[in-house]
Amino acid sequence: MTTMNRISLALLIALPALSFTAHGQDNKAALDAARSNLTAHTARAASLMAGRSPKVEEAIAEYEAAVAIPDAPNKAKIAAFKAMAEARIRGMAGLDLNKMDIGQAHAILRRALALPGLKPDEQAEAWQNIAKLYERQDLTAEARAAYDKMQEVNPAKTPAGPRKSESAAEIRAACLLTLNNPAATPAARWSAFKDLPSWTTWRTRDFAALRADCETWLPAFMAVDTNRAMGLVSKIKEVKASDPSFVAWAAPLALLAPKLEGADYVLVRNAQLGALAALGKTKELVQAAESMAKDGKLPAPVRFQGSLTAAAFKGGGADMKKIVAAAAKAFKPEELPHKEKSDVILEAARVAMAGGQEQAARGLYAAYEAFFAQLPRASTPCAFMGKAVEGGAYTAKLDRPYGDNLKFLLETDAAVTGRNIGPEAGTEASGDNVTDFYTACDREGVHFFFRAHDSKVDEVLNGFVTGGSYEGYFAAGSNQPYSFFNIGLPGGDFSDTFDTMYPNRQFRSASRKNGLAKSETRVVDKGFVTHLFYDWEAFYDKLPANGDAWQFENIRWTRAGGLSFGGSQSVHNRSSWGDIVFSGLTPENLSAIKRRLVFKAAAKYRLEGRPSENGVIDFWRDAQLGDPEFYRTELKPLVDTLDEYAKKVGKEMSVADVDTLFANAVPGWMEIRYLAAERRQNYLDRKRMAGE
Amino acid sequence: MAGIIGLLPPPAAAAESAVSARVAADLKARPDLAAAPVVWYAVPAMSDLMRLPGVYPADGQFAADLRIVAAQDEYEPASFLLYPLKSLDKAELKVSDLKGPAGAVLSRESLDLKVVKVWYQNGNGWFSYFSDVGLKLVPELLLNDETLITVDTARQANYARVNEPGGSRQVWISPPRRLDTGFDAFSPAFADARTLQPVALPAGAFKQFMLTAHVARGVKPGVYRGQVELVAGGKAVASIPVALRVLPFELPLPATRFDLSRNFIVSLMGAWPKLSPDHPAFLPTLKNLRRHNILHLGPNCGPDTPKDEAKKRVAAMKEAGFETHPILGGSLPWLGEHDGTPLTFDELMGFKRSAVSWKKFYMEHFGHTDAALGLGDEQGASWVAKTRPAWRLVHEQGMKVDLAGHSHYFYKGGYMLDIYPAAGSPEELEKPRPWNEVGFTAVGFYASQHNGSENPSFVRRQHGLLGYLSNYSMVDNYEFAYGPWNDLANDLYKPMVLAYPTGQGLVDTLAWEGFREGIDDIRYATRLHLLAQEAIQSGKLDRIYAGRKVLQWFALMKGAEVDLNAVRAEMVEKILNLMTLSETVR
Repeated sequence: MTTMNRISLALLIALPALSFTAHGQDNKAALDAARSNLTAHTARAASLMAGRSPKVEEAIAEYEAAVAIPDAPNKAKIAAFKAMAEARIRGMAGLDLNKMDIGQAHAILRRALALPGLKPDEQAEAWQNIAKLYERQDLTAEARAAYDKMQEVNPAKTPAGPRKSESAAEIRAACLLTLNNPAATPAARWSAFKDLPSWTTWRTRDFAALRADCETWLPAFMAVDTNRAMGLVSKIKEVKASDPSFVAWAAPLALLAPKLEGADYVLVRNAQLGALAALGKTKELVQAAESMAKDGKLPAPVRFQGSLTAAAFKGGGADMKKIVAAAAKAFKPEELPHKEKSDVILEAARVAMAGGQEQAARGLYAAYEAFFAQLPRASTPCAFMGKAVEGGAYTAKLDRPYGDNLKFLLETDAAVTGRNIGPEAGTEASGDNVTDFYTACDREGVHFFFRAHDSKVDEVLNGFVTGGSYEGYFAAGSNQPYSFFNIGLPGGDFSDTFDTMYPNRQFRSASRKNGLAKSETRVVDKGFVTHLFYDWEAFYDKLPANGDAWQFENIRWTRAGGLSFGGSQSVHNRSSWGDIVFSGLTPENLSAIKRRLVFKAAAKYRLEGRPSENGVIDFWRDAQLGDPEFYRTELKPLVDTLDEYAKKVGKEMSVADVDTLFANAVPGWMEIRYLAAERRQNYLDRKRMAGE
Repeated sequence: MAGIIGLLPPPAAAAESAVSARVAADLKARPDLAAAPVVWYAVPAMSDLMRLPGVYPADGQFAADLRIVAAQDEYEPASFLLYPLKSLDKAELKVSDLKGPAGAVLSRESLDLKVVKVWYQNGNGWFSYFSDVGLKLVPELLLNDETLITVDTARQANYARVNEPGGSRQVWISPPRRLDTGFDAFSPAFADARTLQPVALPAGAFKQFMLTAHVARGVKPGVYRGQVELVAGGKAVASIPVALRVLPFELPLPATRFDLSRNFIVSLMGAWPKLSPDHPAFLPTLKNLRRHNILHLGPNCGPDTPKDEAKKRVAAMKEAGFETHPILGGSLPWLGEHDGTPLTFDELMGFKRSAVSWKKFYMEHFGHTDAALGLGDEQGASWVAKTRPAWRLVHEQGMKVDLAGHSHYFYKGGYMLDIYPAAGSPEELEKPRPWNEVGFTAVGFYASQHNGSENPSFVRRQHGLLGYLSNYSMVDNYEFAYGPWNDLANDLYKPMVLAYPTGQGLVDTLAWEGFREGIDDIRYATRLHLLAQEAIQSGKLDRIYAGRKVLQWFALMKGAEVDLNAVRAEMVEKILNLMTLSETVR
């Protein structure tokens, strides 16, 4: 409850007193009118102060109007002054603390002291309001003085005094005093028990201490009412698996409480199994599981779980598929809907896992997984084309729902044998659930063409609805770093700033920044088309062969969720991506790729000799900045070799020339900076190791 | 436990054949090793390459010395791969003392040799911090006892060995997420051996080792030599020469590139262990963190902490050697709304009381208030605007304020926010720029990437020179997660683990060594910048030019692309050159 709400409530409480202060019938009408008038003003004021943008000055005006009503009683006016002071303080919200002039609020509160005809208790109330404000300011002496004034006028009124002790030891001592007092009422003793600091396990994490206190005091309470054990339920929820000893002790007590039922009852039952499993108490666990299997208070699936768990622990490494089937025989099929059945099989698997019964856990988990459709890994061809940008057939789709959200959970027997997880998983109503694409490669690199159908193109273009975006990943094989892309629709904003490896001798990133990744998006009649391109230059040392699969995923974030190629279970979830599979990479086509790479690598290499490019070859040759001795002995032989190869680069290169240069020169041309760095490091290391 | 073989299978026949052919070719150059049952390759300790059993080390140097160049007050690793030509069941690796100049000896106690465990991580292993439903083999753990974890390739599973009174048992620690019920890594029954235990060396499978030298302050400069002896079946089967160059200087604590008078803060969110100070893993964990260059951490307690507990934590923080300027990790209570609703008088009084109590706490335990209090996380700009009065209250008590999040903080709080982990990549020059122009905020990166990659070279670059060159002034990435050991356990992010918890302390990883090297890179760069500055101020033209050349070299350095091993060697070379010019080489 906010301060303002508390004050409004106080005003309303104060108002009924008006009727009791009236004298005679004549005054009643005036008093009723005053009451009505004051109520109206203060209600308006409270309304003006409500919400996040209070109208402070207007509210204060209303309070002023309220306190100006001649016939209104002082008690109500004191409350109104208090509310007015609060409004003034609230109006300072947002200022620095040292700029908050709380003196203004004090001035308002002190006006209550000047009300005519104040009774002692009313004066005391006014002084208490002042004292409390001083307390909020941490002005202890001033608060004390105001409380003294309060007691001068009304000795019966007690100051709020210092805050209640927050020392756990002091609280505990006070609780124990009551608990050990034979004269204390049962209610007081129960209250003291519940106030023991050991219950604050969210802070102490000391469940052993709580257990010790409960073992001392709880039995007496439970002897009168077993429902007193209900307090342990929240602790069982809180401790989860972190303290199985506590759960194994607390659960049987909690289960004695008749009021424990429904989901909490199931939870405690399961927690007990988990705890006994974790403690390795197999015998007790089997007993508890068998008891669950017979417990009419539990729904059928949970009884099935009990039966399954008992059988699994008794069966050791037995065939869990058979155990599941056998346990299910005791139930009618309609008692075990697939969702509930799969859930409890998983729960039984987890109990087996906690109990170190790996074989049983694996078997039960396999039974659980059998409820889910196992999608084949998505795959689409990436054929070599003369010019990929001149067009291909859109043969693939982004049609698998994104997320590990159990949407594939099978609800029917038919589903178990293979459910069509197709485009219907998307939401046609959003108008953007269809995306098709194809991929192809040519001598330049790998191309992706996406066609995002959207029935609301104009609305997207004009900003009324979002066009969504693509988020995807591309990797040159299963154990290679991957590139990330994010492409906004309709604008095609292309972002790829997520490094999974920094460039090195064996890897270069394909990124927008270095020009090796590009994307462009265009608006068409019924949606947006996007071209995404990765240059072979980034992959020159790992060119694919026919049949090679490179990993790829694209998630279209539609207005109704994600739809993807591979069925990503979460973002960057690599094992749930799909593949592009290369074809058409004949020797001629590969040679065409290599020819382009020879030209690119040679051009890149030539820059390294230029001072205008801060080329690495030029740098080390530089007598002022580089190290000519290092250059002469370590780098020049490599440079001479690479230079000789560079002379062979030309339009008339034969296929054999291309092969030779690609194998022998391209790696050196491409990586001359790293090769120079390696040589430099070895050179310096040898220098460091020379002599003593 | 049937099915757990403890060893990775040999590589597929074709690949094995190709690898063995390359090894045979290498052996021709060393006929003296022709009859050896095992050969070795020296490889860069920090590399982007995954050292898998069937992968020939393209960057390896056959039968080469292990070379380590280290400054004083530095840990520096070297690495090698063993390639057994025939299987050796229990091979022992023994490190000798290293003998240095004029009879100086570096004790074997200063050399830590560990085996690199290849185990299952999720399908994003080595590349990103995201979760995945698949598993793949990744080199990661640095173990003394490789049998602490066993890997079953038939089942695609990792197992942890838990020692119990009745014997040890194997616990499956890589179940699918929904089946995972947790593994208590802090149990005293789960811990690595104190020293390297014998290893199994199956024929035809590479196995990586890391040898980390600790050069303490005051060690005599010079070259120290010794070897790693490999003994199998009671016979010495290989002797790998080790050469350690101790440099004639100490590494300073890191400073920012753009202002050498400013300390570079090094921390990681979540790094303080959530353990009782009495837990046997507590202090070893803190000391491990400090050895790995975490500088600003702890005491992770405050005015609400029971006094005895606080005293223990502060004492542990100091014993582990963490810096106390500034102290990070304090926090204000959450008051008010998440939006721009202005803070009220009572809320501000609540903040004031908290700030005052924190001040009292820090004065009592540290004698100063150079400490930061956090409030909120990844907040909106309107929240920042309305929170300024609360931040002012912290400043009034002489403390700093800390908030992680996005660039819009600058619009409303650029003049107030002291500690700012910025969401983004350490490559983003624009992120720290405006803050540095105002000139007082410590800016670090987080999130791109969060921790989680096992790649030591990647972790080194992200937490080292890349951010340093972008003019960040802090490392405080999210996060240093204490497990879980199961890489499948979480649903969106993989466990952001740099070192794994056990009942006795942390198990190091390749990435954790990468983190240390990243900070050491900054320490070298700091040393070099200090010398360059001194040279520039010397008044002697040759020295002035030499100093300026260093600055020019840094200015042209591309942090994302540069070969960090070469940069380190070059920094050493330039430091020695500048020291020679200033005639301070001993």
